[in-house]
Amino acid sequence: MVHDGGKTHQMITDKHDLPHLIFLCSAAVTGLIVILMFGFIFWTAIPVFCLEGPGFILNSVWDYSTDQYGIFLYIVGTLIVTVATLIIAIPLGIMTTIYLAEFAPPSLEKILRPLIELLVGIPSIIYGLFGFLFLRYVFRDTIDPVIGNWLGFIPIFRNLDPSGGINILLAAVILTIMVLPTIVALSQDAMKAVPKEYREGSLALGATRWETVTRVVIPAAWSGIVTSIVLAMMRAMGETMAVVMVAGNSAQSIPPTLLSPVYPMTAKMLNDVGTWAAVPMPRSALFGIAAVLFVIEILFVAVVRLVSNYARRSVR
Amino acid sequence: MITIRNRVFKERVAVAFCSLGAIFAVGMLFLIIGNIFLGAIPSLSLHFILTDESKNGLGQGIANAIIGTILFSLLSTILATPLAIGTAIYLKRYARENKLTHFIQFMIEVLSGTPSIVVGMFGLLVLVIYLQKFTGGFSLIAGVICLAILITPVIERSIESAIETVNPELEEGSYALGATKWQTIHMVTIPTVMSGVLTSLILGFGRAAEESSVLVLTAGYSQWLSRVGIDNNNKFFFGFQLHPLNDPTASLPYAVYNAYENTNIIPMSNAYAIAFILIIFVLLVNITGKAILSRSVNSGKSGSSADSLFGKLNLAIGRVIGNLKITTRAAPRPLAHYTGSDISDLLEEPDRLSHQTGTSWINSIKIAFSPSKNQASMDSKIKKTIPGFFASITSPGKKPEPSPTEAVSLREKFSRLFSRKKKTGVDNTTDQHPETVIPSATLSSINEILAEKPKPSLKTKLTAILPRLKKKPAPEVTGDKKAASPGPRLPKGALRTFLRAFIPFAIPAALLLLAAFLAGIPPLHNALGPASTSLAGLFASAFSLVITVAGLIFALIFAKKRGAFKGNERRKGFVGVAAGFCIVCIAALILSSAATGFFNTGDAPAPRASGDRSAQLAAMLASGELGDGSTPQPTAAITPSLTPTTAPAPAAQGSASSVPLKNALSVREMYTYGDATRVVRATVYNTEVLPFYFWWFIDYNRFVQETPAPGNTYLIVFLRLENTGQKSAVVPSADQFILYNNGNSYTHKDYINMSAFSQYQIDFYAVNQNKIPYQWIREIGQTKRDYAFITGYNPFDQGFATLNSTTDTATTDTGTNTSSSGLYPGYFIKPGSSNAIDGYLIYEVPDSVAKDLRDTYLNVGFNSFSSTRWVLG
Repeated sequence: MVHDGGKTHQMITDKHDLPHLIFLCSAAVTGLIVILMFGFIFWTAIPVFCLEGPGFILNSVWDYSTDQYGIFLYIVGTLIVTVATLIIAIPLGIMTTIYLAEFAPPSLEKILRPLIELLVGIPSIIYGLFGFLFLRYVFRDTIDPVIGNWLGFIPIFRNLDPSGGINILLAAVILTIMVLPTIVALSQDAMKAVPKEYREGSLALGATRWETVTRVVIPAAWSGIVTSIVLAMMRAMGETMAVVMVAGNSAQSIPPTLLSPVYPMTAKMLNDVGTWAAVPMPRSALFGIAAVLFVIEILFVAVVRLVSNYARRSVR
Repeated sequence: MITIRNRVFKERVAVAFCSLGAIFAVGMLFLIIGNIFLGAIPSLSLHFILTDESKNGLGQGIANAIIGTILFSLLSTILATPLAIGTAIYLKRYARENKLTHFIQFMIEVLSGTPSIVVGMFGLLVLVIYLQKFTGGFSLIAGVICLAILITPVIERSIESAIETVNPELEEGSYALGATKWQTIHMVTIPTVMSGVLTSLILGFGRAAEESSVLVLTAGYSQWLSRVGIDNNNKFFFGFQLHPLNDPTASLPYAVYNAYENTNIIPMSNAYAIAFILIIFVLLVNITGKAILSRSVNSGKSGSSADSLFGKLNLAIGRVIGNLKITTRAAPRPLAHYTGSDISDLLEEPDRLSHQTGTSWINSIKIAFSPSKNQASMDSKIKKTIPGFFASITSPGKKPEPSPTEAVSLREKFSRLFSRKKKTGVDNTTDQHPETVIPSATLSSINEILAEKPKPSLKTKLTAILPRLKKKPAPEVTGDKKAASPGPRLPKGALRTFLRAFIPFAIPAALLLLAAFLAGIPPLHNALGPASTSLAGLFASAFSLVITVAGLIFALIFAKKRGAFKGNERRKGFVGVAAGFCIVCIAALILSSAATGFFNTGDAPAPRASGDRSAQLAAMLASGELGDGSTPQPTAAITPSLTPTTAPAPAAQGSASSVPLKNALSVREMYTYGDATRVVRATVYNTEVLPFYFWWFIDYNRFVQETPAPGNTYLIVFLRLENTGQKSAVVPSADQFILYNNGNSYTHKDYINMSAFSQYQIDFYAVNQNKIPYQWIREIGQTKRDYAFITGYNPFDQGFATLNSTTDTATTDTGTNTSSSGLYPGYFIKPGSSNAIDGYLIYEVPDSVAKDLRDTYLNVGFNSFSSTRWVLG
């Protein structure tokens, strides 16, 4: 018998009954909302694309009084913060996952996992406030000087503004805490889905548990892990509130070090849209940022789908 | 060489590192919550939670934000639910593999990955600006719609995964019995995934509650509690305004954002306290959702659901609900207690619980199982329906348990039947679960049922109902310690039990109210020495908390001694206890706000006009309750009118005739005053008539609408002052601009109220004029500043009087005057066109004046220089 959730039955019965229509409508409405929303965003952004052309992405001057809109520095800001986040979050997340999935005693795992999942539920503005009111001072007084002293010979670790505290590193740490549960939960599910026989086979060949994990389980679960990382990346890129509060919001130049402030795209939008939404060209420019962010996001969604499709095919 | 020791050592090191990762994650959770809790302690009080900001000022109370957050989450969940459920069912049950389906799935994935700021910007432009006539600008409804867009994919995907766990055999059984697809979905699929749907909704609710950037852009902020009502308002397309949907509404995340934006106004501990309340709110919602989820997942396991953290929580929740629940439905009884007629009755019951119509086919499924399964399927059916949901949680906590083996077997049976998760492999065959095989003995009954009409006949319905009717008045078995069944009771006994439980609570409640009353009358009112408002609030909440807890404990013990929890009437006893709890809590709330009256905090309560918001604002401003706890500056006394809705002041009638009208300049004509080194050009260059305007009230972080008295309108006069000399020149103060029309004179209206500013703000804006809070008359634009604000009421220093009387004091240099007692940036204009003052003055004039400006003159006295006037028409 084929268990397809009753889809076979559909062939037999009337395809166009009322419930079917209603459900189809609601699905279509959901799709339409998305299309409308993004159609609208692109439509609003068209004037600035016409005005600036590719310079919109490549120029780094953003000035309302001269009608110059180049978002290069903001894109760079978003990218730097995201990459820094991932550099911290991926090892940490995978280490946590490995511990929870493979080594932690079941009783401990049952306590730890829900606790880590609770981190998802903490509102992003709380992370921002936590960073702004507490972690900022920890960084300014302790972590930044230490990094500046020990690693200062490497250009990107210079501590140029000792009185700051609000910088890329802080934003990256806050974002790491935010995306960690995403990585852990999804990768752990992926690792748990690896058939037991794989592990047993590896152990039977004399491998230690660690070797089993690194050479068998993780390669077998890679698609799930990659998906989780991409989703975490999307969350880090799209995050607004926390980033506004801890990134420093200053875009004079490309940030010279990890300990200097930065201005991500989302922060720029939030800070400026309230004031400039009524003026046509600045509004268009701000929606241009949204459009760029959205295109990046669609690319990532496509990547996730490709990865999962590839994984499904390779399993078959 | 790699030895086994090496490898084991390597593993240990690696595991130690990995556990560090887990410790980091969990440590961060505790660090965040702990840090925020510790920071919040000084401000956390009942008073803080239950007061709204209109009373205490920005960030000094959060009742408005709590109500707003609940409204936002609830309404957006309600809005998103039909879409999400419909889409999920379509994708999982109707959609075939085609391009449209893939497209919709892709769109949902895109939507769930969309940064919330993008949705917020969309909402800002479309809902707040373009559809302003419908939504009212920044409003609850705009926020709700955006949040619904945001949480629809969350709910939808969660429901999808819940539907995936439905056992296909269940649906196939339904199809096999001739049910249509809709009947199957309606009667089997949806009830089965009910707890999953509930979880999804709760998670969506939590997601909506935590969202901040969307609300910052669409919802606005209001210091008032939301109110319900309809007002006429011509701004709206339909001519009326719905409260609270069309009002700007506060929310907890926005309150936190306010705290971040206005660190100079809001104390840090208040920021932490708001954040802490938000965290608790969201975590509670999420934990509830997960507990329900783990319930539905774990119920499949035979032992108990207590083997995970959430399982334990959920058991605890079940117990709590079980204790508080007041039900009129019979509790499930052990199998042994059922007789034959009961079973036929019970067969009807689940359907009575869930659906009122179309019950025959689902009965047929139940009968299709062996007789011993009737009970099982019935139980599971109850379990899967919402009302039954509570019944099944409570059943373990209920006293009359069947023998343990029986209970376990029942649980096992229905859980295997209904809650078994879909196997991943293909070897999912029925012979693993022999109990689902239909025994031959019941095949005949299936045939009978299949032979029947699909809809139940009147007769079958009657036979199902009749035994129940007969059964109702049947007396309880007295020996059975089971919970009393809900039959009609003699009111007297019930009332007595109720009162027996209730009266012990009434006593502490009365005491609390008495204390609250005492706090308001002279001997005790303001008896305790001068204290800050926050200290008084802290005392009030602590005081009422202690008395309340003591009272509750006393009442509980007393009620128990009086036997409120014994005998058949215990249910009524529980009702009494619950009601008592409620009134004690209400009394505690009253006391917690009234007990501040014990203290002499030095500020009088604001007289609050009800209904009219501008009157409320006026009263609030007049009472001098400032957001930061500071007292109004003495300079505030200079302001001639405090209320925003001042009637035009009919002043100096005679002065109009004393000035020769012939010399009046017309609009756009320039007047020059000053001496050789200070040549100032003054130009009135435009006028505008507005029916109302807004200004941004920094302390409350929202727009305040100013409306003129009936029959009046606002006349706005734009003027520019430019110093072409070499030295700073004195600028006329705003009260030297007087409007004349037919012998009536009008002084300009103070555009924003200086008393609203704290000393800190005054100092700050004195040197940072460019950062003067965003004052906005929407219809005009953003580049002009209020002239009165710059020159008018001497907001920045007290040296006004001396300056006004002399023309030219210490300003011999070209810089900002920092000579004597402070800064006077508002009173001097520096040379150079970039320093020109480009502003406007607002006058409230009768409509007739505004219609025809040909007889209207603006007279300006330039201190000691000769005055002039412009004719505005």
